[in-house]
Amino acid sequence: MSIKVSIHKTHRHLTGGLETVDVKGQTVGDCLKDLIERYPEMGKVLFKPGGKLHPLIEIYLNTKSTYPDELKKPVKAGDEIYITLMLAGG
Amino acid sequence: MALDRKIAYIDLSTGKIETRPIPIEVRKKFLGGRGLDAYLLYNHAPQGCDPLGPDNPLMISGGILTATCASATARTHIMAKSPLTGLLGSANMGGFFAPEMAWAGFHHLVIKGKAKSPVYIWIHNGRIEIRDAAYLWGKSTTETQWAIREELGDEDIKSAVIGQAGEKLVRYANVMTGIKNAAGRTGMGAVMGSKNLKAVAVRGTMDIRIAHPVDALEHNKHFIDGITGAKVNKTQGALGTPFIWGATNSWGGLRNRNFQYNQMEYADDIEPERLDEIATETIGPHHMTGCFGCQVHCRAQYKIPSGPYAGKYDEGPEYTSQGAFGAEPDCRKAETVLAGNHLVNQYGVDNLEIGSMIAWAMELFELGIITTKETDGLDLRFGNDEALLEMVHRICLRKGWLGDVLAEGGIPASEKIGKNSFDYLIQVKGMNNLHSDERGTPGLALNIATASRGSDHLRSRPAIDLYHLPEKVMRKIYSSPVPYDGPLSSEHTDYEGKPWQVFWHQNCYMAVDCLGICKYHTVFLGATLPNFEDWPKVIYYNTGLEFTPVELWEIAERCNNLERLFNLREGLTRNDLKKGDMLNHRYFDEPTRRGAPDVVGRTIDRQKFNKMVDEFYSHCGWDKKGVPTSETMQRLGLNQEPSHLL
Ligand code: SF4
Repeated sequence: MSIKVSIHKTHRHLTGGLETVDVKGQTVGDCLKDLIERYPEMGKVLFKPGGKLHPLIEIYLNTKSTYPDELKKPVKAGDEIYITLMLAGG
Repeated sequence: MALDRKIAYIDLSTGKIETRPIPIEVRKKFLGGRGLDAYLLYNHAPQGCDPLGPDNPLMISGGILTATCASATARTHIMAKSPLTGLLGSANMGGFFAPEMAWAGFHHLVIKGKAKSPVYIWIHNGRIEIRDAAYLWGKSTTETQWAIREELGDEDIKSAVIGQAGEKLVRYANVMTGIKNAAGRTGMGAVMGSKNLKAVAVRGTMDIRIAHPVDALEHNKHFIDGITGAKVNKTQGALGTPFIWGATNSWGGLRNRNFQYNQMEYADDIEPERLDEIATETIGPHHMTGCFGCQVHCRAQYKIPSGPYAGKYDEGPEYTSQGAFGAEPDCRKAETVLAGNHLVNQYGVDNLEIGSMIAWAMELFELGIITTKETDGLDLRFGNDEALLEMVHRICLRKGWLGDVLAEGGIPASEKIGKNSFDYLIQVKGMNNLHSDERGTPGLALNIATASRGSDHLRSRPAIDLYHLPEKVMRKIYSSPVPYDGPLSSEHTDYEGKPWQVFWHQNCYMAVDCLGICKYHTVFLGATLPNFEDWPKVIYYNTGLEFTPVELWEIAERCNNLERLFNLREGLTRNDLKKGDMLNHRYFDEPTRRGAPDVVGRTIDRQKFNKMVDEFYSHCGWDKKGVPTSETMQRLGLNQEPSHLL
């Protein structure tokens, strides 16, 4: 089943300029894994070296934040995953 | 009851003190905090008054929710005409001061005149006294606070104080409470210094009656769940505001070497994790502290590990200090950031402004516009950590030619330095920018250009614009409480829709500042955090006052328009580079040189920028010159201002 991942503009040079990538999987974690298999550089911006999701990355599934336990959240065909980057503060 | 907290008028020239209730009609129009302060400023400051003269009124306030059962009502607001910009002066700090002032019986102070010699104001359970502060003059911000506690014999006293920078009338001196809470921007510490006012000390044990306590607590429980359940707050609670340093830098959103680059190289040493490593008792989930009633706890603590300031304890550093003592002057040592942060806290000076001023001077030095003659022999090149810290001392103490000149603020300093020095000053309305670079983010550029207190990220910045939120989420946020069906884009490089976002956030942050709550508990930081839909309930449960979200929005609009009227009265004109809604030419002419592909090579398109300003004005109900139209004045009930109700 196909799920769309919407890529943050800051990361699009890592996906060959693509704004969205179609991926497969049963969970958000599967989908990100599929994305990284195709675009390995995305792994470095999404995950910390120990394998945890980066503290600045928040994953939205359709219109809802998936936090906490983001990677375990189930997905279905037609869903959209948004990689958001929390750059606010100061 | 929250609404029975009073306003006090204190004249330091005559010693006259008067207290009054705040009429409900005034609350309904301006709520409290920054909004009501804007009303007081517009009504009490004579047009064209000298910001450092006795006529300039200084307002200190809490918000309408301060010290109620609502969370994070810690903020103290300070307002006066700014000695830095000659326009609106306004600054806001966390800590415990405003709640204590509310328990002492007051929500608002209006301080006028000038004492003959140094004094401090002592407020205790409804009583107000002006006391001698000669023995406090010359003390640092923390020494002053501890000395007042000792003199009055009460460890629970909270004070808002100035350090030596305020005494020396450095035009961007701040007001501080606790170790690091700073009402930093626009020089409110210099206004206190000009009045010979070293501190305002408060202590209170007067109950605040909550209108509907069970509902207030129940609602706050949900609020806390929402706040503590948000990922952004978890991250901020572990690393503090520096959490955004690494990603912002690698993306290319920082000012480096004043404005030469938008990314700092070799910056690993000032990553929050590295700061945690080198300093004892610092960042990390077990070392964070917080303000009154806060569940996020974003404040790190540290001891400087080595060097000339070894062993000094402080709090922070904030992201702003990473910029001021790291990115802007291109200094790469963690210790320098920690030491710079410590010095500004002790002297009581705005870290953003001083960091920008020194970085600007460094660029002028490298260009030969100033030389060792002006620096008294100091090698003021970028990356010179010792020179950076030495300049902090010189500015705060007004030592040497350059220290004294830079203490005057950017525009007066550029006039004294001459040549084309002004061209390199990254300011709006006379106030320097945070260390962010907005050339890749038109919405953020519009925010800093039009912010009421000068170049600033806390008045109208659509910070979540950088997140790449789903468009439906954006639409939900920005179509409420008033309908909006115009363009919106979750691409931060776009121009379309940004004027509405800036307008929306301008109203949002005004409402937040009227309530007296911390912005990190609002949509400033995350799409899931509370905004207009939530606040009327909190106000009702705690104070009994009823508003709809739209009414709250209108109050925010009214208060923003009052700030605009004040600025217009004091000389703001749209395209004036020194007093207008205009950016330095470098935003339009110099492309960014580093960063991710989405930012590299970017400038702000002047034509599109002007169109954004037009649209923003139109959303605000202003004409093409940025003046509120008569319909807007009528709609918001401002056509009788100044109305002198308080
Ligand atoms: S989030 Fe930080 S600044 Fe805000 S109230 Fe909490 S500790 Fe204070």
